[in-house]
Amino acid sequence: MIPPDENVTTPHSEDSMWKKFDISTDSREIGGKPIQIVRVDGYLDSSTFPHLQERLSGLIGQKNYRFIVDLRHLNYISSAGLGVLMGMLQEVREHNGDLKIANMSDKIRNLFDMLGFSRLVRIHGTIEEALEAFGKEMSESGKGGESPEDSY
Amino acid sequence: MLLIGLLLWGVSLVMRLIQWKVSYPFFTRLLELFFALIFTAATMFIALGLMYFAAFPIREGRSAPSFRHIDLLQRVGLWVLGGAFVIGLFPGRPHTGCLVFLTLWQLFMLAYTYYNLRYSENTLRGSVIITLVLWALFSVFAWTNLWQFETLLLISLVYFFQKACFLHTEDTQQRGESFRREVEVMISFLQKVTGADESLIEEAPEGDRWSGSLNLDRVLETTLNFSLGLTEASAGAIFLLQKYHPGEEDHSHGDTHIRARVVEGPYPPVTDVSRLQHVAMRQRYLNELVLSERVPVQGSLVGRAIGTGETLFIPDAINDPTILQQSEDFLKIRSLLVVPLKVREEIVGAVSVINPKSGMFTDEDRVLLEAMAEQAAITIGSAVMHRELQEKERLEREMELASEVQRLLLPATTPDIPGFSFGAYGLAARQVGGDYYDFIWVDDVRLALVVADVSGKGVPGALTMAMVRSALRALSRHADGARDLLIRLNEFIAHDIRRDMFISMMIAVLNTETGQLEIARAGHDPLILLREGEKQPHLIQPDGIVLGLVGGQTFADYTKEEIIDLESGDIVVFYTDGITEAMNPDGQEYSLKRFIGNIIQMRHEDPTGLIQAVNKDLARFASGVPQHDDLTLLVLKVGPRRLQEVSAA
Repeated sequence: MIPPDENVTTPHSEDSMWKKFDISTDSREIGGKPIQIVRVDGYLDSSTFPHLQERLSGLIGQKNYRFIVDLRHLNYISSAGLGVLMGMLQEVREHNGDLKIANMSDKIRNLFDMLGFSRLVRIHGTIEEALEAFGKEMSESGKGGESPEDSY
Repeated sequence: MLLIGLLLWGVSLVMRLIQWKVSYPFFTRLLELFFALIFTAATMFIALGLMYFAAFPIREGRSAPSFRHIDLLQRVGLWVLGGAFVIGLFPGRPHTGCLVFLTLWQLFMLAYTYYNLRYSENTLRGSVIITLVLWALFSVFAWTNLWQFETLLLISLVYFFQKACFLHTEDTQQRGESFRREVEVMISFLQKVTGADESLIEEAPEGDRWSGSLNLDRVLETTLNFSLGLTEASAGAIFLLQKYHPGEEDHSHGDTHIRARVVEGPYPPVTDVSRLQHVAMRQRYLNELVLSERVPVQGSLVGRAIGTGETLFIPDAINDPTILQQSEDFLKIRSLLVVPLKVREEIVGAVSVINPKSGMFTDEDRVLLEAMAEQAAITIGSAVMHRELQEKERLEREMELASEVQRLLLPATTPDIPGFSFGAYGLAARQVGGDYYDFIWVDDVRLALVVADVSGKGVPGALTMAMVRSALRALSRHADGARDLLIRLNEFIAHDIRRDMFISMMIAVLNTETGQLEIARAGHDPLILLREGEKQPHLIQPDGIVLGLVGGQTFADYTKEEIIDLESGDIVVFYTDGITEAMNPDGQEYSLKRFIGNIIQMRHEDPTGLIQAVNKDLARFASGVPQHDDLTLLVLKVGPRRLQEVSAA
């Protein structure tokens, strides 16, 4: 299959590429704690967000509270999709976890800035940076320190 | 099988050709072969006609077919063959003709058996073996040049052998019987569901479009009772995939979980009931437990049949260590039969029956239940579909109601204030969206202009919008300014709003005397301010975060306010992302750039004219593509009179 090119668009139809959506998960370990890396590709909108919700809820149900959401191939995110991410962010933070975002495109970054989400969620350039941040936080919380976001 | 047959035929043809070279003139052989083929074809046509009449009643459901038909055909074929020998249709070397004829005949029989009795795998296997044996024998004849008499004798022997091992085995006869019963079962089930039992037809209120259609639960009950009667099972249940349970809001586990919809008899729940002993003894409680359990497809017994789409047949379940049993004796699964319900290629659920009176389910029970399930699935499928349609109808009605509510919530007119002109436009997408705009008087001189976008669509979105509206109206009287109003509003709704929902909002409080505009933004798209005499507009975007996500001080810390003084001729445009993200057929967005360009071009128009111009350009851009988001546009223009008033003051 040909990978979707962002500059190439197809006529409006339900199954055209701009309905394309995929989630893949991966797990890493930092300081003995698992960190779930969730990659969301394509169009996260009102028709696809339940899939992400289900996947994240499943992982949270298995007591995973540390997430890195990789948005490198996310072409579009609707308010419903943002709602899922923000809802999950609150939930994992209640369990002293975090949800960090990596590889965000400029377009989605702008949206996050406009909505004020950039101040709420930690955004990193790469997955490695996000992992590093998790490592740092864990060693800090080990010393009894708390991250500023936990205060709200 | 057909391929093997053709291959063998090819091999034998080569064999024969080699032989002809040494013994007979080529043309004589060719003629012989030609006659043999003509004869075979003619016999086949006659037989086909016979078979058609024999098989026809099956399709009509008038009488059941039996192996007698096949037996008869077999006999006809062989007698014709024998007759052909007697009148000497195969001059010279009978075995060549025999070989061709019998090959085709056997293949044909095989096909007939396969299509009409696809359940009888043993029969099929038997047929293949016999065909192969025949092949071997006749190939030997072809090599050894036996006389006609011996050939006939051998054919007869083969025939008797065939009869002995194929047609008259007890197994085959039973299968014939079972097939006949199967048809009877299907017919009586159909009669029960469609005709005789009127209680299955839902009583519909007058004017309902779906009147007279099937009632799912009654269909399921009938199906289950029928299954129990058929197999003499003592308990059973029908499970449906979660997504096929009508009227349930939660579809998040639609494909991964199943739940019983009807249950009869002492059917064991998945939950261990040993600790609930005194309660567990009551069957009604147990049945309710079964009906309430959401069972994962992965790892459950019934789920196994649903997952694979194949019947799960465990006659001796009590001795199967992989089956988790309840400790209560009367809830133990001794024998189990689960048949999936398939509508076209889709599996909707499964019928599960346990513990027949005879002790163990038999192969016949399996075949019968499968036949019934096939029929039942179609009925259940249409009942489910009907329920879904009903649900959809109900939702659509709700949507209409919600959009009616939304229309009522939006202001009917724009304020009439000297020195200012206003224009407002709201277009709901196909579904009710969560866009909202309003004009609210904070006090006698200050007017709050509000544009908001609730992240949820549909009924929840409309309800949230209604909540926001009343909150805003209640709070505005006490608010200090735009930022304060946002903070109070956030405080008010933060605890009531769903976690995955949020609201973006732009509030601008206009002092109608001084023309001062206080702007606060809760994650909303920037405000466009096009000043008189300036070529490019300003995007006003004070810091802020959407409503409903963070509470208290954090929200207040994030939210800033910006104050501007409006001058005569200034244009202020509020909007929602439905405009900038409107799509054209190529999947491109309308974009803020094009939107701004349009405003600049149409700056001389009054607010209403400007909105019309934007709408026109938007329609041109979208060229008929239905938009999936609401679209809201609110325009404020400061009139020339304002300047006079200010200078007069």
